[in-house]
Amino acid sequence: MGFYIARRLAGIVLTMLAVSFLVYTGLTLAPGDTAEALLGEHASAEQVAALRSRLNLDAPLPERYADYMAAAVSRGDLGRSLLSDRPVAEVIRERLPATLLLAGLSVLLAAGLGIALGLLAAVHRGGRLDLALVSGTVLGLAIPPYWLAILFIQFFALRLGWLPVFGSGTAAHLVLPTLTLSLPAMAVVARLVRASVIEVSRSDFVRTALAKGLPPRRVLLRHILPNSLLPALVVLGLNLGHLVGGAFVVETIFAWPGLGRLTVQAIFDRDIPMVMGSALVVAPLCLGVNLAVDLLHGMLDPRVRHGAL
Amino acid sequence: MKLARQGRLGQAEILAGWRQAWRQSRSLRWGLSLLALVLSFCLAAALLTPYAPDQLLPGSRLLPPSGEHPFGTDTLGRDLLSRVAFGGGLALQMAALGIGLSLAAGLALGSLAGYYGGWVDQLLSRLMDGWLALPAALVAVVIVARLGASLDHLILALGLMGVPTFYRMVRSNTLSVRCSAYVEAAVTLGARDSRVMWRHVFPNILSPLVVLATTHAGIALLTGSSLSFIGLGAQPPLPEWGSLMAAGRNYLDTGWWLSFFPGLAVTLTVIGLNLLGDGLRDALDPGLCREEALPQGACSEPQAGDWRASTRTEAERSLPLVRGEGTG
Repeated sequence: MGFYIARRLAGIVLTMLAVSFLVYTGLTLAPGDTAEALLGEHASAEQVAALRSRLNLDAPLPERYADYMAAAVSRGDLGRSLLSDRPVAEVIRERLPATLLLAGLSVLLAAGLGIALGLLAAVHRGGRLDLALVSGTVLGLAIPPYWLAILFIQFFALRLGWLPVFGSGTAAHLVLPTLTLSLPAMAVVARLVRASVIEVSRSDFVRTALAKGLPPRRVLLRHILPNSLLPALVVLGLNLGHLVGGAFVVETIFAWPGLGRLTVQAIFDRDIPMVMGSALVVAPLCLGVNLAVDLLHGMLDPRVRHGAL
Repeated sequence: MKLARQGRLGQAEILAGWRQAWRQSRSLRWGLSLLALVLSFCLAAALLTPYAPDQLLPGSRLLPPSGEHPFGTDTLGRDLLSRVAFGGGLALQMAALGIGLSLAAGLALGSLAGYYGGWVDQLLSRLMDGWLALPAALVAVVIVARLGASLDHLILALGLMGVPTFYRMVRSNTLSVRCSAYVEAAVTLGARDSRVMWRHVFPNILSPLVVLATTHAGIALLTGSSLSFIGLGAQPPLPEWGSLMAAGRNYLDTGWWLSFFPGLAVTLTVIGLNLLGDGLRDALDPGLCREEALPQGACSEPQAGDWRASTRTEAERSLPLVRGEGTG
């Protein structure tokens, strides 16, 4: 297990090196002069020169990249924002907790409700409730998050006036963004749990448990359910990428002060150090969570432990 | 039934196979009908409407839906029905070109890795694993941040995002076909690599590819219109569905129709594509495990390694899977 973790960590470090190099060169290398491209055609020569020295554009690319990474790794220094001149790392540290809160709550909600609904549908399979829930998941997977957000705002915030339209600060501000972000993941989890509960309930140990006279409810909750949750766990881990994409949209619509909105705004402002910084923070976070999910999977399922992974 | 056998099947048999699939798969029926509905609606509306999508109608700004303008008009007095209908063409273009790009790159790299194995496979697979682990939206955002926001760059980003998924699928399927007895036989008879690839490998990976492309088109459409919505994709004068909704964002209270109809269009199209994907999977690949039921790559993927080292029994075991007759 220790060797496995070490190998995976090494893989993450290698991936991060490749990613950071691609992001760095991708964002600072362009046909023609990067500084001129960034400032537009109306910039004066001094402005261009200032930006060139600011982004250290006169040094050769490998040297610039090495400098950037050395500063990032040793001092956590990701450069300064072109717009506000504040350290990028500081701004990201400010914005990250809001995104983590939103993402964490969404995952919890998606997992909790998704498992419950999937179980409910499987128990009533073939019935009307099942059909309704399955249709619900088809819709949940297809509805664009931004439209869902708009419908929520129109109904709960504008029509009923129950919840604030956008912003942050109170628990009420969290409700709509969390719902919007979690719904697609919830649909995936519900579908999977339904399918795997149905599959597991056909296995021999379930028949044995029922045959020896255990109450069906106990068989369902103690025997079938725990064995049905693994695919949902794996898919939740794989869905993390979609969650990041969702966060860009949801944070923008609800004016949520998180990393997603920061990044989108930075793109509009052509604030390259800021975009680079957030990409380099989000990528290892995702890689790390993927590793955590795989390890958890291994701990929960002896079949995938060690060599099988 | 398999697309792969079309060459050897009579026309009537193929038709009968599809008819049976149509009868048996509710997803196929609903998916195809829904897509046909959306497409024909867009086509009919675009052909029949008296208003061009960018035609400003004086004195008719922000009109609610009526007989004259069934979807209402937008803030500049443009007919929304005509804009949504033309948006359908853009959506089609976005999905088709994006998927085409992923498909082409995934097919080229995946068959290279799957067919030749060895260090090419190792290198490409590690690269794609890392790529896949990154959030797709982040990749898209970096591309758009560098190149600027436009529909073309969005399509490029969508295409690049999909490459690892197609790569893994092509690679694992090529690998299992490569180990099969009939490929071994063809190689023994002296067939060239290109002939083996074209005659034996490609037809066998076609069906899962069609299924993957269909499901992936839905994802591409959703991601693409999301990015357009937040301003990182198609730019305003273009009636792309996501940017149409972005224009309605400031009129949630007074102009619900501005965001309602484009949103409905995206949702119906994606539902149609998802159902069609499910239906095609039922029809083409009875033995293929469902993508959503297992983590990506868990589908009967042989361990990375040299195919030449595979024993005869392994090759035999992989055969039914390839043909889609067993569950493995």
